[in-house]
Formats: sequence, structure tokens, C-alpha cells
Amino acid sequence: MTVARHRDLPVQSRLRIVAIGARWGDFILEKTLYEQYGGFSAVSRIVMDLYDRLLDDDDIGPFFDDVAMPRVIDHQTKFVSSLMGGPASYTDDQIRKMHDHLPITGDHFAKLAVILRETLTDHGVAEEHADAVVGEFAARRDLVVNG
Amino acid sequence: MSIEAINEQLLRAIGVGVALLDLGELRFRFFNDTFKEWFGDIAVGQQIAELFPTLDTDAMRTALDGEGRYSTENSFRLKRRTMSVAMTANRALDNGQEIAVLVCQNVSRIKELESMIDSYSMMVERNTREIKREKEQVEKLLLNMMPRSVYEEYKTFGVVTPRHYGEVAVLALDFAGFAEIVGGQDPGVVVSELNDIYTAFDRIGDQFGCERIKTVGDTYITVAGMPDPAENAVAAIASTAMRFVRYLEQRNRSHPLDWKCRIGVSSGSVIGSVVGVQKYIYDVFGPAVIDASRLRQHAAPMGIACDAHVAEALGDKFALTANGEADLGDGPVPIFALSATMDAGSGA
Repeated sequence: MTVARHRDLPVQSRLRIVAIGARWGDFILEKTLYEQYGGFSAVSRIVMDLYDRLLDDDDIGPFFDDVAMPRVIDHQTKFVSSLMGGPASYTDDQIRKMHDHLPITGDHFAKLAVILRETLTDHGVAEEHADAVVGEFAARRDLVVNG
Repeated sequence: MSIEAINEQLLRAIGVGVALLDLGELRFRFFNDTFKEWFGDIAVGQQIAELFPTLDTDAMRTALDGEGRYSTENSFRLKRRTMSVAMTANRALDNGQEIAVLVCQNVSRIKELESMIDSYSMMVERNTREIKREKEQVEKLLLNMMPRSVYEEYKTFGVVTPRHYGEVAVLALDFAGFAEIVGGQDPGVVVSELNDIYTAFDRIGDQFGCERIKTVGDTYITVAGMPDPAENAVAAIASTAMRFVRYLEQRNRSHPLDWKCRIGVSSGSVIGSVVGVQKYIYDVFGPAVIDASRLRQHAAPMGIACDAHVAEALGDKFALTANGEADLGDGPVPIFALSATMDAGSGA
């Protein structure tokens, strides 16, 4: 699996800024975690696993009881992609509106953070990168928790 | 263990849902463990329509009576999951009785993956559109900074080879009293006016095949005869200069600010290249550029000054007047004033 490669690299190599796309000049772009961990083909496995874990969880799962499968999948795909720097991003307003009708408590949020971290590390995401992703997630706590 | 017993054990254990139905009323006669696990509370003798309310049993019966085979897909909720099952029923005989063998495959994961690919595709397509838009903006910006052929070279190779252009005509323009205008007007007004004027100059230049090289404050430099050579580069730049003056005259009549340009026109060889690494610009250098800039200083407000070389190339098609001598760097040389209003021939 592509993600295994990154564990073998020293931390500095994994975190270094990579220069790409310099054909037109000297544009320096930082490689996102999404790219570092193999793009869609690798991240899709994380998404599917997270989908299974969330639906199987008795605390988080009920939030998806009445939501159609394509919508849940769409949500998870964009959720993981946005946290890892993939091709999706949400504004704070969008996040707030998406969750304002749900009675999400601090416990729910904390549980999701645990499941997210476990899923990432089980798929070979390095601890410090999982910290970064969960940190991104935690930064949006006030937009989501309303119960 | 008999073969029959082994078969039954296998049938019960496999990960495919299998059931036998009476063909008449489509009632269950048998179902394996996987089938029961998926569909829960089910009993022998129950009709299939009770288990799958959305199943078109009439179509199923018609197909089994006809071709003997019926395939469909069915989705249902199992706890909080959407389970999708591909069902195939085949007509068979069991001890002389007509039955249907129902085989169900769990295609939920395939459906979930399809949904994820749909979601991802939409994200990527949206991003691709945004990248395309940004690329077009960058291209537009770079095309404002350099000729298209130079831009194509830069895009392909990442560098531009400095190039010598043999015979080009150069126009250098500035505004008399520009410092006073800047000092006495609102900065926004000055910039807006300059934008307006330079845009008009660019359009006029385009009509005569000129390529604007740069503007530095009130200095505007454009060339004819590069990157593609032109036989009438000097006439093109002279016509452009005349129209610049006429445009400003007309503009000044209807605008509060009075812009008085001074134009120098020269010709000769230049070098064109992209200069700089981080902050790059396309620039031209050479005696023709220097001469045009110096001639500009000898032009009257709303006047056009040119050297003997240009005057000779223009011939009698343009209204030229000898205007004494000026030192352009190598001692005094004759200079000429080109009239913006008197058309001596077809060239203007």
C-alpha cells in the first residue's frame, strides 16, 4: 500500500516542502497530506473505513439513520478530503449550516475525533500527520457542537 | 457425510444469499444462512412480495414463465445502512415441481464506491474548472507582459532565449507636466486616466501591428517589426504616433485633465528578452530604444520627433519638417518633426 512508504521516511523528509511544477517559473507548492498519502486511491480506503466505523458506532451512527447512502458517502469523501488538503474545502458558514439541525454534543465530537484518529493511523498515516488532521477537525468544534 | 449433506452445508455457508421459491405463488421453500442474515425475520412459506415490497413480482413471474430467468436490483435499509442486492431468479425443477432458484449478491460496497467516485469526480471537475480559469488568468497576464510567440516559448521551455531583431521601429512617449498632474490630482484619478489612455494606445498600436513593451509611470514604449518582422515597421510606428496625438487631442476636448504627450520615434536593431527570475518582465534594449527615448525629449508638447533614418524611411508619404539638431549621445544629428495632422500621403 502506498501509505506504508511514508512511514519509512524520516520525519523531516515527510514534512519537507516539495518544489513542484516549476516549469513556468519558480512556483513553490507545498505537498498536501492528501498528495503525500497517495491521493484518491489511498484516501478512498480511509473514507470507506471511516464510513463503516461511523455507521457501526452506536453514538455517532444514529445521526445517519435517515440519511441516504450516497449523501453520507459524499459527506465523508469531502470531509476527509478537506481535512487532508484534497480537492474539497468548506467555509465556516457551510460547516455551520450543515450541522445546525443536528443535536451534536461535545461527547459526540470527541468520539468522532477518536474514530478519525484510529482510522487514519490504522491506514498508515504517521502520528504527527494524524495529529495535524485531527487538529484541523478540532479547530472547527464550535461550528459543529450545538447540543 | 453424504454428498447431499456437504452440498447443503456449503449452500448454507457461502457468502451469497440463496433461496428456493415455489413458482406458483413465489413462496419461500428454503433460504440459506446468508439470506436469513441479510433479510432477517423470514419464514418458510412467506411470499417474496412481503419481504421485498418494491419487487415487481408480476414482471418476475412473467420472465420466469417465459425465458425462465429474471434479474433485478433491490435496495433496502439494514439497520442504518443501505443494502443493495443484485437478484437473479432461475426456473428449475425439484422432484417434478417447478421452482425458482433465487441468488442474491451483496453489491452494497460497489454502490458505495460508485457514490464515492461520483462525489470525487464532482470535486475534481469543479477543481479542474477553477484551475482552468486561473490558468487562463495567468495566461492573460503573461500575454500582457510579452508577445504571444515569446510567451509560447516561455511556457514550453521555461526560459526565453534573448533574440536579436534587425530592423524594428520604436516609439517612446511621455507626458509634459506629468509631475504637476501627479502632485495636483487624486492618485486614483491619475491611475484611472492613465489606464484609460494606455488602453486606447494599446488598441491603436494593435491596428498597426505594434507590440507594447512596457510602461514606466508616464513612459510608454511600443515597437513595430518584432517579434515578427514587418516591411513597413517605420511607417506603422509613425502612423501609430500620429494617432496617439490625435486621440489625446480629441480626448482633451471632453476631459478636465489636459494630457500633452511627447513622442520620440527611432529605428534600428534591438534585443528582446525576458529579464528577471522572480519578478520578470519582457524588455527590449538597443540603440533604437535609447534614441527614441532621447528624441522624445526634443519633441514639443503633442509633437513627434524622429531621426534622419526614420525620416528617410518615411519618405514623402508623411509630413516631416526639419527641426534643427540634437545630441542623441554621439554628437549633434539632424532631427525632424512629424506632423500628426497633415497627411502628406496614404501612409497616415
